[in-house]
Amino acid sequence: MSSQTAPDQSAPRRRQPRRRRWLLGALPPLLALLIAAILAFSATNDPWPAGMAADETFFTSYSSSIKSLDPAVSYYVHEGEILDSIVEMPLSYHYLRRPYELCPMLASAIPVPRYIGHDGATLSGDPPPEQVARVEYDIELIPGIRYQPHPCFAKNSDGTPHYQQLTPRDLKGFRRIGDFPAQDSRELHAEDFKVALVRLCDTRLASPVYSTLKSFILGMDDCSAQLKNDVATLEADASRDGRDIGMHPVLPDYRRYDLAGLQVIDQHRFRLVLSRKYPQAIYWLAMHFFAPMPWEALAFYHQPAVMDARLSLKNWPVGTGAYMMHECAPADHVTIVKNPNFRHEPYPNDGSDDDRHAGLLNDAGKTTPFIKRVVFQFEREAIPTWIKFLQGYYDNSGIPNDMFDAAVAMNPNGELALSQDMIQRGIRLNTGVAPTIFYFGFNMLDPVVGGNSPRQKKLRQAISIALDYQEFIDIFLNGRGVVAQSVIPPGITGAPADGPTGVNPFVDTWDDLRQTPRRRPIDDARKLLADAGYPNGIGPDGAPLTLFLDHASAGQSAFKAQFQWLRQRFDLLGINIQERPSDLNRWRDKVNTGNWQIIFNKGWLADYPDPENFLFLFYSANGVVNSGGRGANYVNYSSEAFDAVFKQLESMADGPERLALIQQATRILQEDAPCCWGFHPKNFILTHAWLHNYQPHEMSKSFLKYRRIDAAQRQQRQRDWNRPRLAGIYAALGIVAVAASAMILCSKREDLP
Amino acid sequence: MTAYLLRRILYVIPTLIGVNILVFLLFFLVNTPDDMARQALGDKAANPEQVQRWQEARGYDRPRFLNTAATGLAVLSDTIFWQKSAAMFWGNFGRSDMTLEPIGAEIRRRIAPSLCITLPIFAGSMLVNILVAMLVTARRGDRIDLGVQLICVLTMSISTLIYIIAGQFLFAKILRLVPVSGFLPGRDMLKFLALPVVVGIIGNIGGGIRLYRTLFLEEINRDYVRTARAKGLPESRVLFLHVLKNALIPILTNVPIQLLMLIMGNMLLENFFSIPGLGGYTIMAINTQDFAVVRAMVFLGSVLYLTGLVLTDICYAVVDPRVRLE
Repeated sequence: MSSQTAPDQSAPRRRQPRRRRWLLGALPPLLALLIAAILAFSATNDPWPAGMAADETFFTSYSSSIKSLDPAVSYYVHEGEILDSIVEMPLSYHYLRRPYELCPMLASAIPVPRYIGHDGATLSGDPPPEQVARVEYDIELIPGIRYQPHPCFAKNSDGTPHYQQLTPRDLKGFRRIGDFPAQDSRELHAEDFKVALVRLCDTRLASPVYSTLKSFILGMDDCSAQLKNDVATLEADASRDGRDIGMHPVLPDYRRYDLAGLQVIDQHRFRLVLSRKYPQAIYWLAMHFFAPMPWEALAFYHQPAVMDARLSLKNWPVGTGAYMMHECAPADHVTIVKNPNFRHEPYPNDGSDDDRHAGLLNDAGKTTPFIKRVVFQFEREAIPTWIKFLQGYYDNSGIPNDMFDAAVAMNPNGELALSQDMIQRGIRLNTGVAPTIFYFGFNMLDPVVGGNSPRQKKLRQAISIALDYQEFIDIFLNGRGVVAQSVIPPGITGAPADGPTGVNPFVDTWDDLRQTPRRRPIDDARKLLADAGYPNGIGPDGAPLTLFLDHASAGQSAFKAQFQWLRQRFDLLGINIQERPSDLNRWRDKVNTGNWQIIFNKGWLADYPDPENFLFLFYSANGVVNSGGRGANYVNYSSEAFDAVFKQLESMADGPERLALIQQATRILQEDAPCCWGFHPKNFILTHAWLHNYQPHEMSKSFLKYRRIDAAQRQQRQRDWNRPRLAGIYAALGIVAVAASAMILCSKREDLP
Repeated sequence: MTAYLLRRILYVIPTLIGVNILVFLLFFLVNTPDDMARQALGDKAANPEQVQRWQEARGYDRPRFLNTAATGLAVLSDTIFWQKSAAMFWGNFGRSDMTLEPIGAEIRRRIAPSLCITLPIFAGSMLVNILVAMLVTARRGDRIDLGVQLICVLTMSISTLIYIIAGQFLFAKILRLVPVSGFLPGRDMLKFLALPVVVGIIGNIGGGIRLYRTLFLEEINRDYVRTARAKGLPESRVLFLHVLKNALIPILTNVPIQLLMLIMGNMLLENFFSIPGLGGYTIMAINTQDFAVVRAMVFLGSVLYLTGLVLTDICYAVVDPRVRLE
């Protein structure tokens, strides 16, 4: 072991040069100056590339991921905002008229049904459905409509596609459709609709609407079966040729398939044939599932090299709409730009007086689209989106729950209105009741809460009275909802009228003072409960009535609070409510097998603005249990009286007679109370002063073309609102730099490196 | 040495197979393809026919482990396990359940944005941690040391989420210095990365400084340090030349595993700052119940982690001659 001596702490050390100390002392101020200079020249909170805000560009955001922009598959509202600006359908909705009204888009007129009897003769008038063997709609297209420029339309001089049998080498560096130098277009043909509909029959696409469409369009089942066989053969051949069919799916020639439900008459006309009388079919012609599909696009995108370059119909739809895809990075942003081939349709020139006062008719008759480019930015979190909106970097926004009080306040009339801060910024509030219902459902197969006996009805009515949904809306939705009086939301034919006549008399009364419906007194509910055999909530066996709420929301803090509210409401009746939580899959199994008692806030969003799309939720044949999970009658309601009325109104043309039947059906449901009619959500959208012609439309998303931006005003506001605040930073930097210098200069010599 | 390395690599293979099988069982026995289809389609469209079509389109209509209807190798290969799980061993991650896009291509595309924030955070954190830890080691026991330790404990006690929200509020909303979120390629990238990188570094330094301080303190009392001081070297030179060099051995051996895990991105930062990287991809897959992507990310994470462990072993042998792998 070597001996060690203690180090001599007083040993002389090398003297640090004085110059080095000064140099070190100067370092912090220099660093501070450098940071200050960088901040002065580059600090900006503008999230967009320079110069974009000066353009007529509309900036908006989406918060859910984009799954597909293929018109055969896309099924989400935020995807519709993009897709429906690119593709067009035979019909659309009028932008301003309410209730929602269909109008022609690609078609020259709204088609009229022709009813064919079982003997092949044309039936006149509005025949009963049992007399109708099939229905025909002849759709005539506006001539001269052209697709957007796209490489799939580019042709060689001999007429063959310019881009065929492409190799990965050909596509090196191609990331966007715009990168292809040769682009062309062609006129819209009737056959493109046939290709689109046959394609929906392809099982590989798993289109979410196939099973609905095949229930009324003739021959889709047969077409699907034939396609399935042909695809299997094609895949076997392709596999033998060494093609990886998982990565490079085969493409059957959809043009050569016979589909009885869609017959091409000539280049500009096709016939849609229905297997049964179904007047609501016309609304489907306004959905993007009916957007035309040029065969050239399918052939182009099915080339293996194109698929490997990640250029597909899912991201690069082809259409005749006002816009076309420019950049598609769904995980980050999507940019669409004006389609130079768009036919420039005029802005609507008819609307209500309210529309006129709101300035929505200022651009009447002017050529659209107004906006050159639209940027959709993926924002996963609500707070950053909100901050950017307040900074003027988004032109519109919803209101995050956490920020609701900052944006909206109760005005002296007790109505929700913009806060002073928002008004000073020139922000506008746009509201609209969504064509949606959230209800509290009773399982009609359950021996306690289900059934159609008077006692069971009274039990459900008593619970419905106790569940004061206005209170629920105030507490949990910040007032963003309307108490439902029936299953049909406002704005749709047959919806309860505003006023005393529209009140559900079994649950609500009319408050003359506030001019709104309000729940009947809780004593009425207690009386009904006693009549039902549960006085003060005590059952015939002397035990308190206990009900079980089945749900899949365990662990969600929002649900916990809502359940407390439910428990408090049930306590008013002396009813004990218990949770029966399960995971989502088990909960679905319970619903499908009818093994549940009560469910909370089950929702339904309309596909089209017809009361049939809501009333069918209670048609007995659609009972989830009876139909083996196929139907949407989740509460398994079954009433002969309701069924009879529904069957009549389902296939009847709109008119006073149908309206009377709708009201009759509504009244049956109100009395039977298979649900407590919860609420219709109200959408609150904020827009900046520079965004014009913004009118929320809950049924269609193809109205970007009507919006207009005052880019100069926006740029000015952005400058005013976002000037960097550097004074504080400079001061802090200065203090830190001086302190650091002082520390260095005054420190002991040996502490310096 | 070679034998040891081979042995380590061979240990990795059964571990990965175990992970692969476990993940498959978790995903396909607990959550059947039927359940997946219903979740993806939603209540409105999830009728039995649509469920069947959804499964067919994604290849979930095959048997799970054994295809008794097939012949030859297809008995094994024409199954969900082979196509969706075993195939990941040869780099075939399949397609997303939601978008049907190839997962492998998406992973390759998202690695760069992820590294754009994780690498600077990693490097910045290392630098700050080492410098501050060195300072407090030099001033051990005095007020500066106590103050820094207190700040470290405080920063460790605060959730990263608070740093993110406070950072966005202060720097983007109040001071207006940087965008609140977003991502642009090229030079514009810097203005988007500044805030998440600073937030990431602040979130990391508390624990890092305390760890490095402990490592440096272990070294500072060793004989060679005493010798260096005895030779009259200034304290700063003792710390930066001698203590740091020796204390770096445990730090550097951890670097390979950390570097590889950087590829997986930072879920929280990417989500809040809208950075289209792998962390955000994983979060999005979990939120949308895209099980194919979640499975792929779990497997990729396992591969990177195990590779990192092997590299760590190699680093030990290379950096520290005292370590004898045999």
